Amino acid sequence: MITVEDLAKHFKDPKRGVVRAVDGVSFQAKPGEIFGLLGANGAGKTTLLRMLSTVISPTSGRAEIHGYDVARNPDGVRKSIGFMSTTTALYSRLTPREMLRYIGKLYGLRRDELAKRIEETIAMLEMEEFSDRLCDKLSTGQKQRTSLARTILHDPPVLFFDEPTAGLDVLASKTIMEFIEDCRERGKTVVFSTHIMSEAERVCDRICVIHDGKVRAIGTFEELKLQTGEERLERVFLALTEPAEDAA
Amino acid sequence: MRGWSDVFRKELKEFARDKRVLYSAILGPLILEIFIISLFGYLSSSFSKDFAHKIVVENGRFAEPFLTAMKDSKKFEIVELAPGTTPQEALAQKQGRLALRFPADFQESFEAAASPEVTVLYDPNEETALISLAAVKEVYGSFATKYSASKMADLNIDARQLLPFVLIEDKLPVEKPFAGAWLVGFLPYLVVIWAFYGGFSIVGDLVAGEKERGSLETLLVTPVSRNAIAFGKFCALAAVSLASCTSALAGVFIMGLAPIPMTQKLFESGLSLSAASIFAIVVTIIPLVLFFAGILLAVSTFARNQREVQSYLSLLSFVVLIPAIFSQIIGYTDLAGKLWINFVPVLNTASVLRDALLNRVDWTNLAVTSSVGIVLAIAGLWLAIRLFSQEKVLMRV
Repeated sequence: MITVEDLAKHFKDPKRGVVRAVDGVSFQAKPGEIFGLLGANGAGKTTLLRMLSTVISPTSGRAEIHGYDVARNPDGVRKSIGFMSTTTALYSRLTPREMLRYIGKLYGLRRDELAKRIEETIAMLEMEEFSDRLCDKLSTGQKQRTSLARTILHDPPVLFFDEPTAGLDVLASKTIMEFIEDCRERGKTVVFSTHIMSEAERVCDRICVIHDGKVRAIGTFEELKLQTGEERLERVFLALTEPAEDAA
Repeated sequence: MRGWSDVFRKELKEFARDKRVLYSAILGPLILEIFIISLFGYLSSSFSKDFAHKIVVENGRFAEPFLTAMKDSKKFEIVELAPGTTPQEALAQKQGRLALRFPADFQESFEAAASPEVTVLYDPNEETALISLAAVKEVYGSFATKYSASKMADLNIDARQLLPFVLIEDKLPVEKPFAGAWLVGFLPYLVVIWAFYGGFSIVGDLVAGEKERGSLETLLVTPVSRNAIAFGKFCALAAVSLASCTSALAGVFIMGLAPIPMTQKLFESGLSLSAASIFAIVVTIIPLVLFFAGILLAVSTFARNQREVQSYLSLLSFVVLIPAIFSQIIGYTDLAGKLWINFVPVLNTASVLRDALLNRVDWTNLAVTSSVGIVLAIAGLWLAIRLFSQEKVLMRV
């Protein structure tokens, strides 16, 4: 379960002054739900996810992940989440198995539990063939699967995916999307950030359209269509994010 | 601080598989040390060869007694001035380092005790000419003393009565040094340099590299505290720098133990180090390595990317190099014994190391140097950890 209330992140920029990267965002996401964050590049999606994953702290507002407050109990939050992004690289001089062992130790998994989880995860993502090869030598698809394995190794109840398919080919993207859908089946709370409309339309139970750090609308695809009177998600998105004067 | 040892072990594992680290932090110091010692061994053995000072002599056939004294010293190679050539031309053609002009009537004047004048021609800007001039003066001094004594004896006068006093050299009973004077002067410089440069090959990768690759977030979303992550990386950096220093020292020991005639002159006093000296080396090097590790990690944390790390480190290198270079010459000045030297980072370590290699340990200097080193190491670590926990710094990309 994720509860976000009036969350904001402001940066001071010498040229632009105060930048409101995230400005009063509120939403809830439930277990077994894929909650989409749909926005253009620079809309504030990554900053929002960074705050929810405790990488950066909010300027104001509050957020609770699986019952843990991001500001007051960041350790509890970190134990409860898995975070994956396409920009997140692997350690090139470790094998996927070594990397999983390292990450598992950081999550405090006990030796026997860790060994079991590594084998389960490798089997689940069909990584046996390359699990002992250096990450540097893996194909893009294999790297993505390793990245997924790292994200779910500690079996977190909440998963954040920040543009996980950006720059990937069709096959690699398909693996990721199927995996995200599988997470819903397993009762995980998933936050899926993307700027690709078709992906959001395909997997998200609810979509939060975010623009200039602000929430423009939240709802199912059907609800958003009704709200804007548009049929295609692309048009829905444009209707919600275009400046009022343009829309008029 | 849970998790720091996992970060530390992971970093070391990655470094161990990185050829750059192997070459530049481990093999580099070893090979470079072997190369430098071989080079200086070669130069040193060249200096010690007989007839090192090549002297051009005009009318030498008339000055047999003095030239015999020069030949007996086995320090000179005498070259008779070629007919039709002036001494100036001979020196310009590098036929010798300096020229001795004996007058054509030297023999008659000498035998008549008429004090003939002999001219020494040399280029005052040539270091080798000045060295050869000192050698000629030494032989001349000895020759003149013997000549005077002989003349006094002819007059039944004791030559000692003409001397204001007799100077007697008495060497202090000192511990046998670790190695030859040159090496003792140079080694602290190399060790200090490797304590700093040893971490260069990995520092860019540690935080700035992780920022650049995007793998830092992977770490930051784990339940391990940022302090623990920074401390693990700090320890890994310190371990590699220490390995570099050890590798550099290993190079010295290899050359000291290897039966290579060319370098034996550098190690003629053996490779003996007292327990106190070893203790002094350890307690001064370790804080210095930790201090450098803290500073390097702080730079890597502050920088946006690896290129920026290299830019900052190029500048920082001078801050380390200047006192390190000064440590090379401090042994030739009276500053070596001053207390304030012990408060100057790098210089103090090099100074204590030099003493330790001479098998001398001044416990006050050691205590001050080591304490300063520990304080700086703590400050370096604090700075690195503080920067690592600042979101504004860590998110600079």
